[in-house]
Amino acid sequence: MTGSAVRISKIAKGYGASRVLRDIDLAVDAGEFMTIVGPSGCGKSTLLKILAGLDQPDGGSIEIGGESVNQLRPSQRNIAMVFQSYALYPHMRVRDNLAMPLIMADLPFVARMPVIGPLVPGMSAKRRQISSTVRDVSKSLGIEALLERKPSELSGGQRQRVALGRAMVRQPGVFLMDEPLSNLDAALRTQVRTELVQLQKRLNATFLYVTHDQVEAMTMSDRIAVMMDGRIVQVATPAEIYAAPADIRVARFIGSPPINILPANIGEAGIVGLLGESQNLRTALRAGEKAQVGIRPADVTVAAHTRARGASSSHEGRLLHTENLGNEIILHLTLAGDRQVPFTARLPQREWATIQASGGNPNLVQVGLPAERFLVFNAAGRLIPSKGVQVSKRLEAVS
Amino acid sequence: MTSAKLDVSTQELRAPSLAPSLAAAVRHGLLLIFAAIILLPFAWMILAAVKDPSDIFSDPFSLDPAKLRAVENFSKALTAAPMGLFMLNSLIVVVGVLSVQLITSVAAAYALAQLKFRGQTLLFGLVLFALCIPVQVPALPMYIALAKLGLLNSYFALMFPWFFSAFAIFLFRQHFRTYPQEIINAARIDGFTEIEIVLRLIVPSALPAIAAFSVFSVTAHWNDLYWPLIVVNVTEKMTAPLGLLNFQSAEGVSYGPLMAAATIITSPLVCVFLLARRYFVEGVTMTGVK
Repeated sequence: MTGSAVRISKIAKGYGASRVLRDIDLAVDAGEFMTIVGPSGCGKSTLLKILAGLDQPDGGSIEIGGESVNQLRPSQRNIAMVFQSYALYPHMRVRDNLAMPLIMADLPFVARMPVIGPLVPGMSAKRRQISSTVRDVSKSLGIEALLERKPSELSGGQRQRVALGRAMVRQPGVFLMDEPLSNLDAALRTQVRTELVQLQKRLNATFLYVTHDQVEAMTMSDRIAVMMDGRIVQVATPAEIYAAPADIRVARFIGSPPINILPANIGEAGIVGLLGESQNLRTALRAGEKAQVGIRPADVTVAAHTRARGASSSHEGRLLHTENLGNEIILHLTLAGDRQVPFTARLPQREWATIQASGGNPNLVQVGLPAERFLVFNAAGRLIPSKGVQVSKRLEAVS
Repeated sequence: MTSAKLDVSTQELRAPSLAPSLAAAVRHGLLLIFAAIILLPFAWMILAAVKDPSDIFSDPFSLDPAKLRAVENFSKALTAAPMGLFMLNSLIVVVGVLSVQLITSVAAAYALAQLKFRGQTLLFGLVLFALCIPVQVPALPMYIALAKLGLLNSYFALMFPWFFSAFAIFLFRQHFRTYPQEIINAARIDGFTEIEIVLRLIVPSALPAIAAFSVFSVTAHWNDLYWPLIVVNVTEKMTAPLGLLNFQSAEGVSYGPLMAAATIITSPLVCVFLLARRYFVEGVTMTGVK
């Protein structure tokens, strides 16, 4: 079994005056794990429903496996969906929940009626086929012991598996997943995350996975599509999204703890000025333009208050509080030069222990901002390419 | 000192526990009085059915075993009028009304609750509007229509006005609305037709509401006198309450057999009530009626 490619073009959807989706274009390769991530209300779930055929778009077209599915009913689209609430049939046993998609697809209407259905002749081969498929799928998910139970007798994780199994039995070309992990507790979520990725690789299926959790998006996906306000802002691999977010909203959304954003000004020759100092960084922006600089907390260097090291500029940071993650420490600071902007730095626990051991004022640190890792955004919030240069602390030295 | 303290604390412990039990006693006393008021006519009916008719008014709540007339009263009741036929007619009407009601109202309620179509709000508004119309209002036009079609004195005439129940549509619609949209979506992806969604998912989940409504409908139409009185005047098509009325005018002041007949007619509902007490209670609380 191999997954199908999906091509979405110019999909638009509005409810009344509000535009939920605006000209969405997205191409998903066969066998790809594509995550659609965005804050709640950005339209990602609506997009998934339109893909499934549960909602009608105002315009645009959808192809699954090279065929236009605009006119097809959900059951004809060669898709399966896993819902946030799992949406298991509450009064049916797990066995029947798993068999239902096959019964609906393989048996004619009369044969699946509750009372007279079993009397229809010539169906026993198909029924045997269905129950053997159910057995295989439940075995591969490790839920064969639960087949006789009702959904209400299952734990959250077990329900999630059954929902997954119900999607798998029909061997669909595309799996649509609508926040399938958000009802699980944190420990289970991490475990199922790994299992889902392994399952996707094993089935070689196309996954379209909707989530608001950037950690899920980063850890699971082949590619991520970031959605904001009804538009897809960026489609790229997790590494690219992290290193070069196309938009300041993407930069803010991806990464934990969130990226630091500092106001910047552009000096002569596009040199970036930050916290009152010129940085070793040059952009295509004109002098006097407004800009913002993003700095990932992990890129910040921290040293004891007495000296700075390995940074193009160094600032005094006042410690507000620290979060201990065990192997890492997150420092919440304010910087000299702009005490209004909150600033976070993330460093290994061992480094932090060394800094603390060095004595000095325990509430002050020296913060180094490496200009070559800066992400510069223009006034509209778009990422602007920048280049490291050597700038002396006096502006006129720029060549 | 310590013992005194202890006494105080035990008194404090006891004092509040006495008040609730007293309140409970008062509450139960009141309930018993109300229950007695409700049950009194039934007790009177059963007593009147089994004793000498001459004693019914002179000594209503006595029961003299020497003057037991149960056999006479009941045999008179059963022979003077075709009680079996009346009850069969009632049964046919009640079952017929309920089956058609369930089919029409479940379908209509699903459409109003879970589908999206033009004019939905207007249609639901009409359902609410229909709830406000007392049954007496359309009775005359409906009678004339049935008369012109030559359908008076038929089972159809007895059942027809009740085939569409605005109340059932409203009740089921409120219930179906709470059914999770995601499960319906999952069913659509799995290839359920809309009819199968209703029959295999929605109806099983709404069984308590359906049972409650059924109990209501059966009670109402078993006891209904108003409409049968309008459309039926031949003995063969009379329902039980109408037959009882007929019985009374024929027997004049003979209360013994009349009460025996009333007891016979009431007993099926009492049996149903005892078997499905839970649904009665659910029905009343769920629907907020009465």
